[in-house]
Amino acid sequence: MRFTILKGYFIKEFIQILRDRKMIAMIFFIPIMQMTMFGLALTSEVKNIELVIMAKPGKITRELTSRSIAGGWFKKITNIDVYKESDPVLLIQKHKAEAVLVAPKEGFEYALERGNKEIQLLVDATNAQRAQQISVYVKQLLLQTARDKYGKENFNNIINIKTRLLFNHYMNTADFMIPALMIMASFIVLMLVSSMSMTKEIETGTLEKLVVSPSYTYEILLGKIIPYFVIGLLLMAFMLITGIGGFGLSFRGTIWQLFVTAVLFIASALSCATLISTFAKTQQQAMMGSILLILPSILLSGILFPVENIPSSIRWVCYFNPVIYSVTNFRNIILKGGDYLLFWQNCAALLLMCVILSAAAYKHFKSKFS
Amino acid sequence: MSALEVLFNNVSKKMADAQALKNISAVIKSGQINGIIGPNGAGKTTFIRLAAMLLSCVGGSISYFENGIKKEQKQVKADTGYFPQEPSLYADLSCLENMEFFRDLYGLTHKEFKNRSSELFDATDMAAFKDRPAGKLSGGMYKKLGLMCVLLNRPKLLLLDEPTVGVDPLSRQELWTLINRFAGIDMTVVITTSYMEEALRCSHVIALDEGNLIIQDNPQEIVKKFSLKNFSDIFLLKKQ
Repeated sequence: MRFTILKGYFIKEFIQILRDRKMIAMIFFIPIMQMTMFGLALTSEVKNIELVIMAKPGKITRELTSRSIAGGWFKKITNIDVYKESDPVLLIQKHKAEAVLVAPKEGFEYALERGNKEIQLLVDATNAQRAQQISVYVKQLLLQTARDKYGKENFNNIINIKTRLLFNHYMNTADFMIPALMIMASFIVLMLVSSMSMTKEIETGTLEKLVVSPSYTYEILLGKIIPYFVIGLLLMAFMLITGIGGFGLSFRGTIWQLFVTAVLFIASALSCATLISTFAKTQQQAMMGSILLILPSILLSGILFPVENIPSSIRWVCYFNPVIYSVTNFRNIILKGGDYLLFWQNCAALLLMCVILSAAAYKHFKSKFS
Repeated sequence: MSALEVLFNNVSKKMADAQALKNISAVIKSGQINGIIGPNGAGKTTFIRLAAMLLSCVGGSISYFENGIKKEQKQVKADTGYFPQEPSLYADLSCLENMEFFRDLYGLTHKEFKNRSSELFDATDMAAFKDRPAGKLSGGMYKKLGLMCVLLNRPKLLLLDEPTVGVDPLSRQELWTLINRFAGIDMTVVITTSYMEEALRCSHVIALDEGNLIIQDNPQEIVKKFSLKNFSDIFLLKKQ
């Protein structure tokens, strides 16, 4: 091994990096961004739980409500009149609540004093991790309130709580993760491969030939994007089939809803990748740029960490992310059967992002290369 | 269908901090082989990239004419073929696949493609290498394939940026034979070169040095007019 040659490479590489502002920005930005996200925003603790207590008015009900809000884990729900609501399942189905604690018709006092009456806890289990923690929190809240009220220590054997997990009865992680993985995996693949493919054309000079050729700008862009669009759809179909066939995923929604979401999501991801490639000069830069965007898009999408836990001052960033709408829609469609209001809301957000991103990519590509 | 004529009128272009072209007024003559001659850094590539509409000039204007009628840049684009210094092809695609890609890009019918591609393969003796990946061709063959892809469209204006650089003498001769074969009433050829002896192969020459126009005329006329031994002496003469 000749160290003089190695030294030459070392110096040359350093000079190149130091002269490349984009590279320096990426090198420093990634650790700063991750430290900020993990340090401030991302936590596995479950917060902002939307709990509705359905019971006749009483001291325990009031105590439970005030304690739940004071503890900081639960969120005050103002838009529901619990005395008018009759179906707790519908509350969860319509996304008005994540968990509903239902007292027997005689009230909590009766159930806690005698212990032979059932208290029901219904939890939205589309996010298995979150559902598990919500269930534990609510049980703790109830036990603590009962202990303080009656002064007895051992309430565990007296209180009879029946927990009902909705939409993912067996708390199956695969059920919860596969819809998210369909989005996450295709997002990573499409972002990396598509942005690098476009930059390869720039790097090897073939793009110049395409620009001089009779093709219009939109034809060049579409010609480059469409193959990856098809790959994205095939990738998702493959993961869905594997999920159903291999992991027993129960598909409750309709294929057209899934297809519409997939189309909008893939179009957004590819527009994003094209935009990145218009700023990059080399494939290496395109890869770095894609990773820079992939990481926060996944971390701030609710796939790994609940978005509700992120402080509201930072949470708004999550809503500029196409992954969050796609994951929410996929989980809504596959696990819950695809509530139409939520489906169209997410589709509208995705469409808006897709239009903005593709317009930006087209404009920048045209101004730079045409 | 007729070849294009290009008129450079007081064209200036700055690349980074350097003035690449300074008030150039020149004519690219229709149906002829126009040579853009000059040493390295003369502004040849900037000149041809401006003609290819890959760059836009800061001062002056560039106009395109067909049979004396001015044409819009959008109309000209479809009739222009550009061969960059590095004839970028898709290395993992075979020669035929590269040609087929450009066939689709130019919107040629299968019949047109069949006729034109077999003519080009025969003219270049490349028929035996149809299925070889472009990345595995020799330097000369790679350039020939690049030229074939451009010629497939039968452009009215063919812009070749130093096609003979880094090519052995035999391949250089073959490239010139190919250029001569297609240049004519239907095709104007513009070729940049720093090989001064190649100037005499052109019918019209635009000599550039440090972004300035030295002279433009028929190369034989230039040699006769200034009693030059070699064409390159024109640059020494003008400097004195």
